[in-house]
Amino acid sequence: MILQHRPALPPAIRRHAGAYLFIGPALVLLVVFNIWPALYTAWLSLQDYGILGSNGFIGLGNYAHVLRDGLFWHSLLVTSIYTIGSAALGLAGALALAALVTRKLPFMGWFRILYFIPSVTSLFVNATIFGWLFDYNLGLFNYWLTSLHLQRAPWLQDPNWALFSVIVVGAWGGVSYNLPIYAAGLQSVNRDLYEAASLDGANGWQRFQSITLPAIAPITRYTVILAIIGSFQLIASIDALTSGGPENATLVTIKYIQLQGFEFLHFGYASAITLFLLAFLLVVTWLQLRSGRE
Amino acid sequence: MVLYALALLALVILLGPLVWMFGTALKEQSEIFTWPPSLFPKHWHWDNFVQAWQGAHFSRYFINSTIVSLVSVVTNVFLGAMAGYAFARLRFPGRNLLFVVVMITLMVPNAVLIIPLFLMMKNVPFTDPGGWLNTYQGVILPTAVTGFSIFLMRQFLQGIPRELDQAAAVDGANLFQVFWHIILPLTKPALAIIAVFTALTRWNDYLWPLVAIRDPDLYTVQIGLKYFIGPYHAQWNLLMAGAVIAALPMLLIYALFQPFFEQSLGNLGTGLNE
Amino acid sequence: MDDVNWSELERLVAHGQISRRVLLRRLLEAGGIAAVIGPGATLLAACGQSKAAGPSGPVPAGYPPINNNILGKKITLTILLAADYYNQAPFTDLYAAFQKAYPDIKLNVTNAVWEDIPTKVKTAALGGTPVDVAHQHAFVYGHIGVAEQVDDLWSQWGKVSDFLPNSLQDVTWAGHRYGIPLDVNCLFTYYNKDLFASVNAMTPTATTSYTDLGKELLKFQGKPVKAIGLSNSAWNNSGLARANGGDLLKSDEKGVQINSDKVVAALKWNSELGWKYNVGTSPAPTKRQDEPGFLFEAKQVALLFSGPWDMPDIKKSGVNFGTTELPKGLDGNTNGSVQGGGSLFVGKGSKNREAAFEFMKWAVAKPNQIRMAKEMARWPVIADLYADPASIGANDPALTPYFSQLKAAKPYKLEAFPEGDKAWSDAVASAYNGKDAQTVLNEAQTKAAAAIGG
Repeated sequence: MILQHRPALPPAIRRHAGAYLFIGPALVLLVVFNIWPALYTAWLSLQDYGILGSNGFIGLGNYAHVLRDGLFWHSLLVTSIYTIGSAALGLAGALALAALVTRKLPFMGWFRILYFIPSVTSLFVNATIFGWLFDYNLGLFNYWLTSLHLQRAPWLQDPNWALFSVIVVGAWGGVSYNLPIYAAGLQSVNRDLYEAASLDGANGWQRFQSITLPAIAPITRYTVILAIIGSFQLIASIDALTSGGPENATLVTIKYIQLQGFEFLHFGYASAITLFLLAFLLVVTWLQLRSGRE
Repeated sequence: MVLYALALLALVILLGPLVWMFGTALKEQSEIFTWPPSLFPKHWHWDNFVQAWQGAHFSRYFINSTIVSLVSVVTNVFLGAMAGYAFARLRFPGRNLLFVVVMITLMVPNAVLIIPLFLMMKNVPFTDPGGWLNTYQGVILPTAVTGFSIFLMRQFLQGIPRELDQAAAVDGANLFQVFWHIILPLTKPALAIIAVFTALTRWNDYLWPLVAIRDPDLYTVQIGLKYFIGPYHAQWNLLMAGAVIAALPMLLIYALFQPFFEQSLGNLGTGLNE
Repeated sequence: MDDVNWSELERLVAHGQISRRVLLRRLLEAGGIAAVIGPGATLLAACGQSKAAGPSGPVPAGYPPINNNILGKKITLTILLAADYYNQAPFTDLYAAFQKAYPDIKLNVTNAVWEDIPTKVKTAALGGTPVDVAHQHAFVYGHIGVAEQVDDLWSQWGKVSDFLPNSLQDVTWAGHRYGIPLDVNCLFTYYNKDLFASVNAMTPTATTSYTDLGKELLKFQGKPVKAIGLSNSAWNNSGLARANGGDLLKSDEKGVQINSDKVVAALKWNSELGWKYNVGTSPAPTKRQDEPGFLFEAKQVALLFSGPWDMPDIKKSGVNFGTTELPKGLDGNTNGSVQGGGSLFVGKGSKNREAAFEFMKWAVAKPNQIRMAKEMARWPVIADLYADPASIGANDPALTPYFSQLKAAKPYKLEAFPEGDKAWSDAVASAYNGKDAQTVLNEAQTKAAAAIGG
């Protein structure tokens, strides 16, 4: 071992030194560039901090304000709806598609490769494309609707439609992104289990429910957690599609944070909202992890 | 047969918008938004790609993006793998707590850390005024390692029997030898995933490079892409052409690593059964 | 190899103005490897040597005389300009000319997309490394506190009366000046003559009121094309409110009056064209504010309130169009529009205030302004350049109403109050979506006043 030349160190440290060396660089980087700035943000949240610097400590004043801020709670609701909608649709779609592509049929391999391409372009580009497809006056989707003699749809104009449209874009990306993971997961399920179940008379759907789903439960948990975390942090699509409108219908919390911080220049207040968001996310993730252990 | 129809439908849904992107990239300014809208123009203006390449200074920016992404991939893969291995295999005091810390870093949105990171980079001691702003290291370091890499590696390793590396340790191999000669080859698939997803995320990063870089010579591809959005209107066709060009390297990376995906995640499935 | 300007490169290298990396790039771009290995080699070698303070070069005609306060001082100016023009010929020549006159001043020109400049300015300010020169609306940054007051430099310069009076508004806040205007534009009216004729509607003139125009636009009801391409942009609608004599800010600039009667009336008229009378296209969300222009060029709408930036594409599209000023309010008695363009300002805390101001003076020197007009279609802020439109490449009669409208156009000053800007913006979007203008503007007024006061 590396430490064989230093017998003076206590045995406990010597035994674990290797482990600490292994996690050391990564952890140092994470703490320096992630935890420390987060702590700094927490420190900012205790102050009335504007673009010219601090206007003094106000303790929990920002936090009290956040609790009273209707728009903040609204943004949490929007974020939650968006997360549930896009994660559910995206993951379900990815799973369904994975079930399709893992069948031993010719060309499925090609399909599998092509399905990942939407994940290769940036979120900003994808959202910009959808922005034009959803366009009320000149967009392709409304063109199809008018060709069928239907009314044009206010995809991004109407507050109710707008959130739905944003969810669709998120789900679309989610299907592509999670497909490889589910596909690999499905491939790893032991074939013998399926055969045994067929012999017992189980049909396709029953096999899916009692064998496939439990077998990929761990993967599902992993993708759900990452999908939730990702959705909470999503700002690129919102910016490109709606900028939080119309009438704040798509104002997710992270966008609200950017608004309060970079537009209104209330950096202390924005930091407080960030910590609320973080706490919310921690609770959600913890609940998610807990439910998996049962 | 029905299955192929479904597969084709999925293809249309997933790739349709990108086909639109490509079609728009080939259009003249006046053909972009017409009624009725068209997918492809009458004449395919391939010179849009040339214009996009030049206008967005892609020759310079590609180099920058490549450096940033490549270094990030290397650090993520190695440091992430090492940490993931330690968390998965080694027992040491504080292991669970430190892993929770790792998970927390996954949850902190990068967008809100911009200001503290900016200040930190500016104030790096012993550097000339400006700190590490406007440098490659300044852009790369904040995401040189992400919780994602560590998390993935750990999950993956939990699916590989401990006997393999324990046998090696009994034979007298030290930690590093076990890691290098046994773990790394076994986990090639997970490493491939870390590599691809890291490359993708870093290549498509926008906000931190924008804020951290002042010298246009160091700008990345995504910043260059926005070049076509003017204050009053955007050159949508050139923007889309630029987007196509910007996506090509990532497509290449994906194509190269894709075979690994299919092998690998098999273990990931069982690995997550903890 | 002929495109390599050797003497220019030599001079820049001799004065240490150019870094090795930049020199390498220029040689490669111009002449490839041959340039680098051949004559370029000596230049590259010379690059690292230190230079002595050189004498100033000649000042080209029309530019400000040498400012001895900054001559000979080794200064690096950080200049942040918009990505779409910073490297166009008038500006690259400007940088070269300025550096020739002040060999010891290095111009560090950086660029960002217009909408990203605020982020960069704000982070730079927060981080204690302010930019020396930036292009936005100076008054906003003056109000926030990240632009330097430059009243004293203006007094020394003494050229206030050279400028279009309304252009100076872009750099003025609470009685102080924070920069120098760079270019202007404003909102006016485009109309499609053929489409108007097809429904027997009268085209608008410089004296048409909103009310009269409305009657003509209603003739488009039920037709396949719409009368007007509507926009819900905060900036556009502030102009449409001004056309009715409505001002979003109180005259002392300390409070807002977003729900004043004239503003409400203007918003009501414009928004109802869409959802109530069905003669307007639905406005696009924020990132696609150029859509009404596209609709006009595609002959899908007959009328458009827009600025001069759409003119080149409209001309190319072959639409038989005419231009006129904005309607004169609901009753034909008021004249107003919103002014755009921008100004250059000095970041607060900049150590090179005077040098920065000097550079800004060069940017608005007549020769540069003329080139900006002719080559970039960015319209000048120097008043007497408009006396001879041909000299700025503006002899197109379609531009005449635009120049005339400019005289009554004022900047969108609500932008200085971001909460007010958002409240107005949200209210406008709601109004175009079918909500009652008075109601949404009342709400906006409450929200804005709470955040700002007044």
